[in-house]
Amino acid sequence: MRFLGRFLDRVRYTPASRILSVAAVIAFQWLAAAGQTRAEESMGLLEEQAFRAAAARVARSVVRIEASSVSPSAVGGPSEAAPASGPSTGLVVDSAGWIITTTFAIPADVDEAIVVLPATATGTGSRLAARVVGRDLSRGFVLLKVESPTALVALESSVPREKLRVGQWAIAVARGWDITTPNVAIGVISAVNRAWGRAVQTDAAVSPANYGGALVDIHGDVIGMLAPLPADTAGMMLGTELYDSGIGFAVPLEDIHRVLPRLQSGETLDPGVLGISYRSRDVFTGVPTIATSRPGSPAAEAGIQPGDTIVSVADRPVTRIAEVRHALAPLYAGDDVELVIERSDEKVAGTVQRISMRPRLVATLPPWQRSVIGIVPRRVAVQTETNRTEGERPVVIDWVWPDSPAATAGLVGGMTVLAVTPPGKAAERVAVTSAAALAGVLGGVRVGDAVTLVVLDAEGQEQSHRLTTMAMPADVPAQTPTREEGPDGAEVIRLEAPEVAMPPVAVIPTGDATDPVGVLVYFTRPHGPVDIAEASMWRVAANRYGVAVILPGSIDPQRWSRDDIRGVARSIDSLRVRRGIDSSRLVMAGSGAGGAFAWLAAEALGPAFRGVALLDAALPRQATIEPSEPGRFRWVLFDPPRDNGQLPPRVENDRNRLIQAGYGVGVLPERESQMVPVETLCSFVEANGLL
Amino acid sequence: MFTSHQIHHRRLSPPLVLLLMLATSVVMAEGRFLMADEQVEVAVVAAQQQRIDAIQRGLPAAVSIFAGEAGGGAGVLISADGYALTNYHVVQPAGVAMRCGLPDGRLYDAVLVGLDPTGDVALIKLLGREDFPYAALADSDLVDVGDFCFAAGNPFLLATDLQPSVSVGIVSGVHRYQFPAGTILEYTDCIQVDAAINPGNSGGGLFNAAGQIIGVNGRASFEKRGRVNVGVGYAISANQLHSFIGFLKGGRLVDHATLGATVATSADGRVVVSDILERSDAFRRGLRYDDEIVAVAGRPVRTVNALKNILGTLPAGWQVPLTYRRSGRRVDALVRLAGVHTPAQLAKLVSGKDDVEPRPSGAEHQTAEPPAELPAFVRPLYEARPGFTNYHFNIVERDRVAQALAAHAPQGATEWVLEGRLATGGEFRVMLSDHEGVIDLPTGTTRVDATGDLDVAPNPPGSGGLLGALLVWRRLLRDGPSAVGRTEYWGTMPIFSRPLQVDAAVSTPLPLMDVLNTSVAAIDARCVVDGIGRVIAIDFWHQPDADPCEVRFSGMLANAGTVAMPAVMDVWRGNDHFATFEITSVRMNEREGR
Amino acid sequence: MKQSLCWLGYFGAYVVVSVTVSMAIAVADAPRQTISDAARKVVKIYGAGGLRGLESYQSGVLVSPQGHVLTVMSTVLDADEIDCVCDDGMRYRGTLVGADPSRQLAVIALETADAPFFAMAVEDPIDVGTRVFALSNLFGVAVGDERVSVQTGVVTARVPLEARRGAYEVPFSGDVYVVDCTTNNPGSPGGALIDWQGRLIGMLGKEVRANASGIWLNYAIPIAELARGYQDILSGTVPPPPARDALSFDPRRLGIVFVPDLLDRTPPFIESVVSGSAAEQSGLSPDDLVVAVDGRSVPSRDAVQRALGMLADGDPVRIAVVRAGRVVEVDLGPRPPLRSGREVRVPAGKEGL
Repeated sequence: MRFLGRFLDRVRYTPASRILSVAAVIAFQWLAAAGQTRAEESMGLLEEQAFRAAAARVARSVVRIEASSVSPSAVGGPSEAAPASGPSTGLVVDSAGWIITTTFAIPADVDEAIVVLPATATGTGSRLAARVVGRDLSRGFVLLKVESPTALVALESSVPREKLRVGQWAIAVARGWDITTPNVAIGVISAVNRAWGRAVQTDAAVSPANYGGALVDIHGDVIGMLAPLPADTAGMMLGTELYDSGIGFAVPLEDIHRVLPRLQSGETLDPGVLGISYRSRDVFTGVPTIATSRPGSPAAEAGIQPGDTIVSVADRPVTRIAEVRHALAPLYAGDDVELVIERSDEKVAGTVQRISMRPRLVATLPPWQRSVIGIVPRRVAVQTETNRTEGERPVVIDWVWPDSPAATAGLVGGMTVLAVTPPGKAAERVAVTSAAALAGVLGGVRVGDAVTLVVLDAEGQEQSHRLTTMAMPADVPAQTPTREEGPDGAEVIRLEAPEVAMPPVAVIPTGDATDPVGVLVYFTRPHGPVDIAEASMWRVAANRYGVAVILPGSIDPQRWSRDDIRGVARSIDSLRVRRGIDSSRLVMAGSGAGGAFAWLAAEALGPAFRGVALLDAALPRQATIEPSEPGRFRWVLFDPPRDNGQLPPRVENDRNRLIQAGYGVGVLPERESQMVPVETLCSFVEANGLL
Repeated sequence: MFTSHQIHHRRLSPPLVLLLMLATSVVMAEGRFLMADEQVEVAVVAAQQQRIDAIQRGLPAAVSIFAGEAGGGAGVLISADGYALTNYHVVQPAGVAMRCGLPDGRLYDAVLVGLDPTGDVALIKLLGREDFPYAALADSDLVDVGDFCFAAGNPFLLATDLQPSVSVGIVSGVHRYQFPAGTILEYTDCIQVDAAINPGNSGGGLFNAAGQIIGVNGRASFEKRGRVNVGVGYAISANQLHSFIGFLKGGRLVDHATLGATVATSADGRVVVSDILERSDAFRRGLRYDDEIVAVAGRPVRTVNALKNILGTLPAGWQVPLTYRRSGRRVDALVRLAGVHTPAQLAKLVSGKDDVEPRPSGAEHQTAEPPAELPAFVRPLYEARPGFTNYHFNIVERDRVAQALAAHAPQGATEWVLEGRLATGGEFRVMLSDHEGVIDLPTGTTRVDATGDLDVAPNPPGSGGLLGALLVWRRLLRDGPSAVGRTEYWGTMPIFSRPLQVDAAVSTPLPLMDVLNTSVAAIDARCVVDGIGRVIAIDFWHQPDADPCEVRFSGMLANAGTVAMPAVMDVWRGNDHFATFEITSVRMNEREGR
Repeated sequence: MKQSLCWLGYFGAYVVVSVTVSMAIAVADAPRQTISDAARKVVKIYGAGGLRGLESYQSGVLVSPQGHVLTVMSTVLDADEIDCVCDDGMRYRGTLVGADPSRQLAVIALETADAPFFAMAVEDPIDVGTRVFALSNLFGVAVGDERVSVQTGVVTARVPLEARRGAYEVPFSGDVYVVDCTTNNPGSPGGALIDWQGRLIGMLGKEVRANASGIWLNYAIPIAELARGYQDILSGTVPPPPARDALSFDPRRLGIVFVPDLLDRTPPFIESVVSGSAAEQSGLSPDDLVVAVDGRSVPSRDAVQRALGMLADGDPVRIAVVRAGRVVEVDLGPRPPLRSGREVRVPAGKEGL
């Protein structure tokens, strides 16, 4: 101290003090800055500490799941969209040995697994055999039971969903990578009400390694269990397509706890089904007006009719189809749901009655077969369903299907369909405001049941006809009506659209511009870009039948790819902007490799493409055939080379599968020439308007 | 250590204070590390709350766009009256009408206003409210690598409840360049982020830690994962958007800028002109083969990418500073930028049709009915017209500016007389009436017939058409936009003062002003209007592809009463200064005296 | 006294200044400095390739003042001319000093004297949960003097690398850091993984898939391996690459016969047990399903062979099997030495595309 004092005395008035002062200034500023950069780091490092602390709080309850037998569904190994499960993660929800994990880790055909408990000080974690006790097929998780000598550590506190805030930390804790240290991934809450109300969304990395793991907040309180839920709005039905994409889902722990007792008692919980389809195809903005209530469905039993509009579900008012789904999707088969519908009163125009009902949801519906009466309405085009009227148009009969109920009843082109009465409901006239409305009613009618059709004939006289519905016909009539043709064939253009790497060639009718066109997408064998010349053979037929033919090119000259399908979708959008399209007359067709691909394309683009024609082709081997239902129906034409009249076994097999699933299936008559049957395909497009 | 006691009894020595300072600073530096666990949590939770609040500021402006069968995407509201930015590739398949969801849980009808296919930007307007929540545009030139950012959008159309998906991350790179598809969808000077950007995030906002918009997400590198985010997304910068919003609001089909020259990197790494169009303005300003490009619009050019990045963020038609070097000599010039496309090319790209040819200016226009039937709600808000996305909104903007002009424009008076001195000495007198414009200069008197097409003579000689410019100016102020020829809303533009100051700092984002474009027969006149409705500049083309007469007004004439009249009128043509007019008096006569 | 007062004045002023400075910087809630410092030590590497999935560019990190660039060994380096572009835009012709096939590392020398470089001083292992930045020229978006791309995340796990590129096993089987940001992008390999203090803690690995699940892996080679690899390459004492099947041990030598390998990832069900073998003595029996070897999960026959191969000669072979719904642990005694030459050939797995 004294020494320092003397030292200071000595330096006090020397120039050194000046130098020193400068030095001090610099040092001071530098340190202040250093303090600052550290300050930034330190917030990062403080957060880092907090992440670890949060993970540590749940670590003892996060276990590793290993397959103890291989699922036949895993044969063939992993694929881009469907990774193999490998080691996965589970959560202890009850110290008595109850553990949950995902249906991804434990597929439907597997009923046992290995649970690895967290490593203790003594070394690697101990392995226990686990058996599947219950499944929740709505939220995609499985309840496992292990017999453990010691009590397990169950998850404690969970965060109630209403307390979650978008942007708060979300920490994924898992053991899929290794058992010694809990594996962490950091993100935030992206949205609190996803997967139709069944999950919370996070941008933390979620993948097979941490499916079944815990998503916790910064305090280590549990938000939910990470699970690969389907993103059906994007046609991703597995959920795994989105691994590590910044889009992950977690099933809230509170929802899991709610059903735990039922699962513990060995139940399998199915998503609840009501059995309705809507007139609007736009689930996001469409009004929930009923097109069909399936025969024998809870909806039908509760008395829901075509034309009814759902206005409230479980005491929540709804105006969009999406809102109805949000209210229904979280429910299980066996749950009752409070519904309020509005029905316009046919007798007193402009009045509506509100009816409330309480259907009980079921797991599955009786199979459905499409029934028709044999009228083909005039084409209509609605740009998009942003149109408030949901595309309401009077249904004017364009032509009548040969030897159909409509034909025998004497219905003819030019008549306007006013109303239809479902079988056995003489009192209940349903106004036919659009083709979709009529289709909806027929969707709820069993083949062979009779409906009463009220039509306005050419003289403006109202007629009433009783028609016994028939099953969907297999074959296209030899002749379908032709349209007013423009001069010298259809125009051929290259259909440019943004983000379309390989723009297709389009053949567009030059006839009456106000007459909406049907669309035929025709895939040849893949061969890179399409030459304009390839379109020439379509020009006459396209004009005659008012069909816009789209000939896509393949990005990869060797094979068709998913990107090609996206390109087609884009091209159709840009076509829709410049020309009215009748969305009931859309067909995917192709020959050889293009034929098989046409089916995949139709599946990828949803139910809009009702017609599919496969020339010299069978369904692709990976084709899965969902049972048909209103709004999901296809009419498939085959045209394989025949061995003296016999179909090739594979096509025969496909045909039976499709018929089993309730689809319309036809086979084109054998042809001598190798020419593409352009006429037949174009009239097939027109025939798809059949009701 | 030193106690106050010691400090008191001995004279406080400088070094002692220095040591004290050092000590303090050390403590300041270390202080933050001395924290207990619960304090850790407090600090972290506080930081978390800050972020949640920032997100809450941006989120209400997040739009979910649904285009029926055409899918959808995202958008972001930028004004209370419902203007929202999104991507061209999002709305293109949707057509003119779409429906949009907001986090308030409600659906709103929306109409297409403007398109910028080259920059992949579209402007739409949500309907039904005047008090929409919206987010402010930040200055994206302040964004740096490592900055926190978050994206709000509608990836994979997951926003079934109209709540956007929020993903957070950091800025991975700035001033990125992403190649176009053909000539459109070019991402220049864009912001790269590692926040998850998936299909459907397109058109949504990218926000900073304050909840302001720093960009619009529109693109991502995908490669082997197909359409799934791999931590590489790109956003169109807020400053680029800022420069185009005026044009988009005007319902235009907007084009981006080009210099009219191609460049290459020389052996010694300079960016040099490898080819140049002789009819480009850059050529007329003296730019030649092998000249080195030093700076454009106040931004240095060191790589070819850098030049692409600068030009790509500028609208066609802007006049910006260009600095180039030839054999060591540095040249600064104001150069007027050309468009990447012809209007016809753009129209074709958008419609997929060849047959859309914009009518020559001045010709009577017919409105073509859009092919597919429009929903009822947009019909009153949509007018198809070649060269435009939605002409209806051009009229809206034109009338807005016209109103501002009318506020202090002279009414009634038929004859305007401006008198004063030339900066170079000598008197001048300008008379403007419905019949003619006359200018008396020391060099003599010239006149222009105002009854015809104004394109007879670019008088006074050498001015490039000063009288024509002033006649248009007078008619516009006195009789409004519909008085003479066809007047449209052109867009917005910055005005760079002449003569050009070397190395003048160009502020970002650029201060922009409304521009009206008047066409009479072959002539075009662009009147630049400032914030309070004064015409501060006129560019007058006596014929297309020639150097226009550039009139720059400044100052306010004291004795002009309520009427806003400039005190100084500076006139240029190309690189040449024509004259500076110091106006001393303006007379407004009810009747033409002759 | 007067002087002291003025000093006090200065002092007060400084405190005020520095505090305001703190405020100012604290607002910018991002370690811009840390990142830009690190970015100066990352180089863009251009070489051979150019086909889809086989890019001609990658990243590397400067690890010595005399311009040594450490990067991952790849086809990009199979070029007569390897160009390296530094953060300042300077382009150098690099010369390949050497490579370490087992660690999949390579060193390139640039003619530069005063390059900024990463010290390889951090001690392994880095804790799981450590926050990191990944710097690389992903997708080659940065050209010339443009800065490489930066991503942020945390270390998710430290695990042995069990991965394949296409049909080929990645030879390196030591521990790697798995991170939760997507680094398996073209151009990323060779990039830097740094912590929030800006220290190099790893190098971004190749675009590979995890064996178990087939998902794309985001991993980094730990700093310790980098340091050793760098030293070995410089000193020319690079260990020879392990034969692709070297680390595989035939379970038949323990008396275990598995069901035939009919399909990918055949589950390791025991078909029969050789009488008198260690397997028989340990009580293994047909239809047992082997689930773990020495605590390591073995979903397939291949996995068993690999797990056995990883044991050192004489290590006790502990095997867990599922028998009648219960997990049974058995000990087969010390593992016999690996035979010189080839063991059973491990069939290369199919890539899941």
